[in-house]
Amino acid sequence: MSLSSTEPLKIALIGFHERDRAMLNLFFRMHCTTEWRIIDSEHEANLCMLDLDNIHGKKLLQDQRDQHPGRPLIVLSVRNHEIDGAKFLRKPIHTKTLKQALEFYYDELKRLRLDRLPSAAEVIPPPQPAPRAHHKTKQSLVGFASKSTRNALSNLENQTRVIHDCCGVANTIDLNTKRSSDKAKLYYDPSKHFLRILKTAVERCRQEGQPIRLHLPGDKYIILLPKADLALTDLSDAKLRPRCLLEIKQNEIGIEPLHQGEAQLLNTTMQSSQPLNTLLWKVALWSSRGRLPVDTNINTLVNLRHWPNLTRLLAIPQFFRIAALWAKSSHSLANTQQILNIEARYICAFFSACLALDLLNIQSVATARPIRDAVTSKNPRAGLFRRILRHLRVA
Amino acid sequence: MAEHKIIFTGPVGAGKTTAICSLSDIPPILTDEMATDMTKERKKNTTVAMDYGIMQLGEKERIHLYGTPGQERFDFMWDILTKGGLGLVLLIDNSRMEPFRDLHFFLNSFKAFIQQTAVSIGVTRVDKKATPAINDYHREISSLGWPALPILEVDAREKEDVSLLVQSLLYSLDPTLAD
Repeated sequence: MSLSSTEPLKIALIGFHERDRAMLNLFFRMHCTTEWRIIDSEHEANLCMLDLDNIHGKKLLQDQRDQHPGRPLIVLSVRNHEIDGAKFLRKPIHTKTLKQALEFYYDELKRLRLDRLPSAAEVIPPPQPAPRAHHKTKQSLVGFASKSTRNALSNLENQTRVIHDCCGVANTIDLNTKRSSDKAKLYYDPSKHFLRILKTAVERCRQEGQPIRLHLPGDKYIILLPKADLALTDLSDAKLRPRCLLEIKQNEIGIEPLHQGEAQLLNTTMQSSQPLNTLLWKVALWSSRGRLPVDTNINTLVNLRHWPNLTRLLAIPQFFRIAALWAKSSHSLANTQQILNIEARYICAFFSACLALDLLNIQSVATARPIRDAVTSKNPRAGLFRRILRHLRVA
Repeated sequence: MAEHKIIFTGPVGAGKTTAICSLSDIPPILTDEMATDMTKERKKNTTVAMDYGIMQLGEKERIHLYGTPGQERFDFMWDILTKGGLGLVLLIDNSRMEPFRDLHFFLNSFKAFIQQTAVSIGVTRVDKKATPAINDYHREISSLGWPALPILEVDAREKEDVSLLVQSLLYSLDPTLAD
């Protein structure tokens, strides 16, 4: 590290095996002796490193969150995790990666003048950019308690925010509503949004087998690679999400074919990649925000051609319920709301996302269907299934 | 004590043992033995009897998690194992030579049980071999005449993945389950 300081910052190692502690001691002595000093008392530390693979790793992480909510934290594990407010490093740790993370926090701590006293009031976000995301990296699943680190970080506030981003605000709108004010809240026009451009571009690149580059305002790019089934972008989710809600002006987004060689080069150099369907699904959810594409007939019968890969897509528990129902048989959107007794926004969001991925069979003739059928008949084991679900979510 | 069970099946090395370990509230009882036949090429130990774990629902109810032996020659046990089961979790190892052959074999072997209950299919080791893709599995089961089944990419080591797979099984059994 190039920074010099008269007094090193203090770092505590939590949950590490003796052998790993010794290795880290060696690392700090060799690489950052002037910037960092390992201390035993974690309460005095400016920064902590935590080994999540410790048998009590989750508990230790929870303790850190509870006792030092604002203190920067580096979390290490052999498995992939997404940990809000902390920098995650996957083992085996590379010297360069660890140095980069330490440098980031060192600069931030110095900038915030935290080199004398750690302050629980100031939160330092994890360093950006993150290490290149593997294209199979999982999306954060909303509403489930089972993400391995979720107990410590996916608090209710965070869940609510993501549900809001995908499904809009809680409401009591009935899909059968006759009120024009409610009807206006139910629909959006995908043709005026980024979703239409992205969907068209994905279809085109898949059809032609040719990579495509989308130019977005602010000199940002999304590159679609049909053979690798990947989307590369230098645009974060936080930046892309609001764009999905805005109406696109004419010629605001440029589309151009890309040479295979250039695409290959970009694939190896760009920071972030994700499967094409993952991007399309997200953009559809963010565009819909709990609304239906305009002109959707709520009495049209819908069923799933096949299940979305919900372990690798942005999903909430309600999506599993709708998927299971629509996989079994055809139902109208209006009946789906009555059968499942859930808010319309979840059905609208799921419908929009499935539509973007072409997962739906939609009957062209709208048909009224009686609500009561085999699916809705009382299942004698429903209570048991509910208890298992509850157990799975809190475990 | 009310007793229920969920069955985990799939070929050797698909992650049944690991999946049960990740959900069980007790240290799972593993009956792996040193593999002495061709399975040793895929897995040092292989399950010759069954794996077993428990999800404890309060004090008066528990769910037994049974893993079938991966080797086909033990299929005589499967009938016994599935009797009274709530549903089937089928794990398919995507890195094996012919994952579709495995898919056919297990769907066919458990056909009667699946028709009475439900199945969720977890495709494992996609990080080692990306093809066939999940969409290819959907096409395959559709061509075999099966309805739309939950087929999800899972990492059997990740509790969340296994949990979601079981949740998809429960919702398939009854989509109207309220949270």
